[in-house]
Amino acid sequence: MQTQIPPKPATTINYRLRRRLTNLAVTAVLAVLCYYFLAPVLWLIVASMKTKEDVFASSPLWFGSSFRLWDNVTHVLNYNNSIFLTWTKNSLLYTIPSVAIVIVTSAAAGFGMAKYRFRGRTTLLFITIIALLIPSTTLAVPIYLEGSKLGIVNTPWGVILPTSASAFGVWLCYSFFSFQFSGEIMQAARIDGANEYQIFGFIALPTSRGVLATVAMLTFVSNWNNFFLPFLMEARDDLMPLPVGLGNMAAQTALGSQASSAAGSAISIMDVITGAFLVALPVAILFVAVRKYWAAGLLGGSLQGQ
Amino acid sequence: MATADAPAQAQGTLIRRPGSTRRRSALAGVRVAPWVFVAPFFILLFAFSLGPALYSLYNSLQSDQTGKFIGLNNYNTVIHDSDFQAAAGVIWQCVYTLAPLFCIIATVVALILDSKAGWGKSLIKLLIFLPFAIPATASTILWAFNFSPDSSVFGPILHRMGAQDLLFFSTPTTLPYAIMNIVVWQNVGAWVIVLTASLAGIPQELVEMARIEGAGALGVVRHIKLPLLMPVLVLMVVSVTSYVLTLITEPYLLQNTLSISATFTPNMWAYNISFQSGFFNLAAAAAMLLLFIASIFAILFVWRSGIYHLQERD
Repeated sequence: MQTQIPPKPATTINYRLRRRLTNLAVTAVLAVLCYYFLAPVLWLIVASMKTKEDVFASSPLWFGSSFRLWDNVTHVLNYNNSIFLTWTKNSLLYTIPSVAIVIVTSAAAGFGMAKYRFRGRTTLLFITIIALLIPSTTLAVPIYLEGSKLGIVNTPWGVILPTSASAFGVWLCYSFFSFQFSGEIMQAARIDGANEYQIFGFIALPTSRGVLATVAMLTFVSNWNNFFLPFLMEARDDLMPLPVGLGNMAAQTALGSQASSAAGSAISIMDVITGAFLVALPVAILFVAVRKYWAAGLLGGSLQGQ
Repeated sequence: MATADAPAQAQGTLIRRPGSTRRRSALAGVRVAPWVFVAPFFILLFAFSLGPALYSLYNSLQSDQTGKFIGLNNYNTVIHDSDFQAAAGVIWQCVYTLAPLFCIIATVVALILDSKAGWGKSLIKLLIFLPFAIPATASTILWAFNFSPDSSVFGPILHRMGAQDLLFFSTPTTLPYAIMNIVVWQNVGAWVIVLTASLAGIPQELVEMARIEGAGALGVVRHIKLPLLMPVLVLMVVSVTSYVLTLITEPYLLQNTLSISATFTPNMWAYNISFQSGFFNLAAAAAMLLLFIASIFAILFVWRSGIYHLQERD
């Protein structure tokens, strides 16, 4: 594949030189990009190991005069009767059930729309695409208004239920079942006496493990990181998930400045920085570690048919 | 792509086996089963998307003071509110500067990563995505410190730009760019991955054919890669525009730090008018306006991109 077009002999050297220069230029551009995207992340890691003074005085990408990670972490975890651990527990409590519901409902709905022809199917498909494209933030205030009517505000359900329907998950599953799951297998299973639910449970679900892992991963990250909806729904300190709690802490400090925090506040910017580090790191590592699952899924979801 | 040669699609699934004597329970039949499959998702979707939307629509037609039906008066109030107009102006500025900028960056980076030139690209594909996994709360916090020249990894550049402290970013001209920077940093990587994945799906023979016809690298990009990428590009434009339209997390969290107005974006305006001032029906009207605009974008996308027909062509 690499050698399909031999360069004209007279210009070989010129060609090589140009090739090398292009490589150099492109690598330089990539290096700049890499710095832009990565340096702030490195900053967060290093800053959470410093003292407050060193955050401003020492090199932003290197360690400060003393290694303070454990002191910083202990300080955050002890803040306000270990509320950070409560927030972590809440995050898990809100995220895991919604991911489980999303997996099941997405697989079923994707399978149903891909493998059966029934009246109203195209309408449902159309609704799914529209729901996929409308940003969830638009609906946060309406969901809150409805939620307060239903009495699920300030309960775990206020976050779990609205984040349990994923049009994106349905779309991924729909694409998968449409293009990579043959109707002949279903026919064969029917002849062997399986009913539709057995086909779904024993054949379709196991076959779609890969795409379901993608759905699970992306839903987990987006629900874990979600800010606005839980921010509206869970106003009580002990009900907040991590991003909302952290946002609350940040709101009580003067971010990005050495000035001491607002009067009477027990939070220092080091708590906020270390908190951000603790919130961001596990998910980021998890996400990069299982990259092969979601990377394939994103392709599957982005317009299979082209 | 992957299975263009997939065996005959599901058309046959409705044909019952001739001569089948086995009786199925009513629930297990092929007529009912699909509804059982799609029901849970659509019930949840309707309950927590369409339901709230309709309920807000209903609320938005009622007065906050008297609770009586007042037609479109709330919409009138929202549109003529000077704070809302200012917020809409900010968003408009973001839409026409940020959306193109975002899309150009993502496309160029994806094309570079897809090309043969340069070293270390697989590493970059991994790293460029990292910010997307970081919660908006955390990335807003880390950027607040990186806007401040003394603690920033971009300190020398900020100093050269004339920034003394992070208040440099709180002026009306610089503030939108500060917010946009966070949005780009956080989200561009995800789209780069989607675009490179789509680029990898372009048949190599097409590219080779264009090469043999005499097209250079840029010619291949212009005549082969970009046209084939078009549906994904349109999807990106729609998504980024919608994201900007409903911006709230980043400016809300920076509110004190950069002294941002409490009604900086339309969504913040809606939040403020409902949760701070108690005018929930006005907020419902604002939310409906945003939803309406976002829906128009979504429908335009479905209509123009052909995504719908492609999926239906089986």
